[in-house]
Amino acid sequence: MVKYLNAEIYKATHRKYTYAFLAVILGLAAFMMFLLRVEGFGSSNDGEAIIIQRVTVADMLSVLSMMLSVGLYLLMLAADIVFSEQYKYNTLKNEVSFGLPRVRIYLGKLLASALTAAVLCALLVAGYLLLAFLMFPAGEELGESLRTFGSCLLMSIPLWLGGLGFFTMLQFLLKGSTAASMVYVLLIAIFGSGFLELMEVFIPALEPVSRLVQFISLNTPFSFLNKYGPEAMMGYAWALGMAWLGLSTVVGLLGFRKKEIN
Amino acid sequence: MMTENVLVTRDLTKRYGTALAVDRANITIPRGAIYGLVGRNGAGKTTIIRMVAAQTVPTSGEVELFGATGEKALQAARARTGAMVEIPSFYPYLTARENLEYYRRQRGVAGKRAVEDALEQVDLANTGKKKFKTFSLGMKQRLGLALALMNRPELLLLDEPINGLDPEGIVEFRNLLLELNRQYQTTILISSHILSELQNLATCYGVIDSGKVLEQVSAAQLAERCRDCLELKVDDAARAAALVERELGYRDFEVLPGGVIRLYEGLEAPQRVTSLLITQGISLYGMEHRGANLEDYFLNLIGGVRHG
Repeated sequence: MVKYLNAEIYKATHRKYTYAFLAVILGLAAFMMFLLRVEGFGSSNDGEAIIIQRVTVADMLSVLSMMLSVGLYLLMLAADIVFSEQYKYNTLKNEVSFGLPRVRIYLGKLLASALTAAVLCALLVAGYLLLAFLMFPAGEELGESLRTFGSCLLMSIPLWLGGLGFFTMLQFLLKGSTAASMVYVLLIAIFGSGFLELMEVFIPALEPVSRLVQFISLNTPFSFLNKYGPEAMMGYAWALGMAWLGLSTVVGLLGFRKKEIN
Repeated sequence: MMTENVLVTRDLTKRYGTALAVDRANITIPRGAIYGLVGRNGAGKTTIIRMVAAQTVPTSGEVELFGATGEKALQAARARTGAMVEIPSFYPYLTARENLEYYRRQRGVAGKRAVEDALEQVDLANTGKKKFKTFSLGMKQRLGLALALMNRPELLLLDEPINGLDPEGIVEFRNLLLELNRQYQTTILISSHILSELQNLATCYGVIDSGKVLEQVSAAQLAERCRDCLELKVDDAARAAALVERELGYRDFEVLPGGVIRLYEGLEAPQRVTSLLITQGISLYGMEHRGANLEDYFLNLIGGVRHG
């Protein structure tokens, strides 16, 4: 497995995609901060700049805490960097014909995706914080914001892992990353966005289904984050995320075990 | 001394829905052999190789590699093989060197030098930063072969490997395989529909048609069966054979059903035979100088050319 991970990391670090992904996300973050900084200044009548609103690093951390659910979608890119359209390029045959067990291939990709996602996440958070510190003052509540952000991050990790497990399963079972991405987004976003609740208005019989879907949706802990706080959601998030990861890994392994490699 | 078999398949079968792609195929490849798998397109050659290379799971039957059977043992045995099945596939955004380095790490092949050696062996050492996606088909084939060779395999599985190679590349490729076979006793299973090319390489053949292995024959046996002869059709083959042996002293001939005699000597003077037979009152219905190559032999075995 170590050799497998070593190879995957080698491949990921030799792709422009990886660096482009980092650059785009950090570029967007920098642009957002720049706008906030510009917005934070106004002009007096004599043309001298005055501060009308003071944005701090602590505020930026709060923004980041609220945006952690986006990680459920960004993880698709990390997984895609690793999986690399194996069915489109037919590269899986080079692995199975050498005698690599399919379980190792599957778990290797999953682990490599998780590692890649973790490294990218660390770099993005570090880059975001660096930009924030460069552009804004720290703010008095920085310590508290950091602690809250840490808790939110800890709550998000299992949910991201659950999403990663599910997306990896789709990549192995569906032929094509586009199809996998579409199914993933459809299931994660639509069913986690109150779509079924809306449908309940028209079809009342959907209520139990809607409740169940809401309970098992990876988005739900993020939705209740503001209301209950990360600590209250921690156990639920870990149980939910691990269940998604475990179940989708078992289904993915069973499906990939005898899959034709063309 | 008993010959060690590197690859044995027993009643290997692959069914796709109702279509039978491979039907109880039994092939045996001894160590050091170059085994030519001969068959028309869609005969089942690629499916057999894909089952050996774990790219598809057999419906029934067994694969034995280096004496190993069973999924776990086979996985370990496959690490001693190199495979190039159908079109070589690599990551398009990586260079030849990067692609091989990725697989070297994944397979645990010791020494970075293995990548350079493999690239030099197939004449791709100077491709530099050129990405795989810009390679010609011939270059892709060479890189596929480089990957198959990187771990110094004891068994090479090659499916239509010369597709896309130019004439010079074909000669180089053939020489490389012969060299590997001679120097390292690498056993090679090679499928091709370019029979003349196989004839320059193979030490034994398996003929496959409609998923069935019709025959396995050594190159020596094939040469024997394909050698030049004078085929006569007469009314009394047994008497004609006796006459030829007694009067002309010929010993190398065979009598076939339907009044056919094949003479393997005296081909330079067929009139001696015809005169003898006619003067001895034997009716001669036909005479033909025959010489078969692998292509003729193959077509004869599968029942001629199919149209449509």
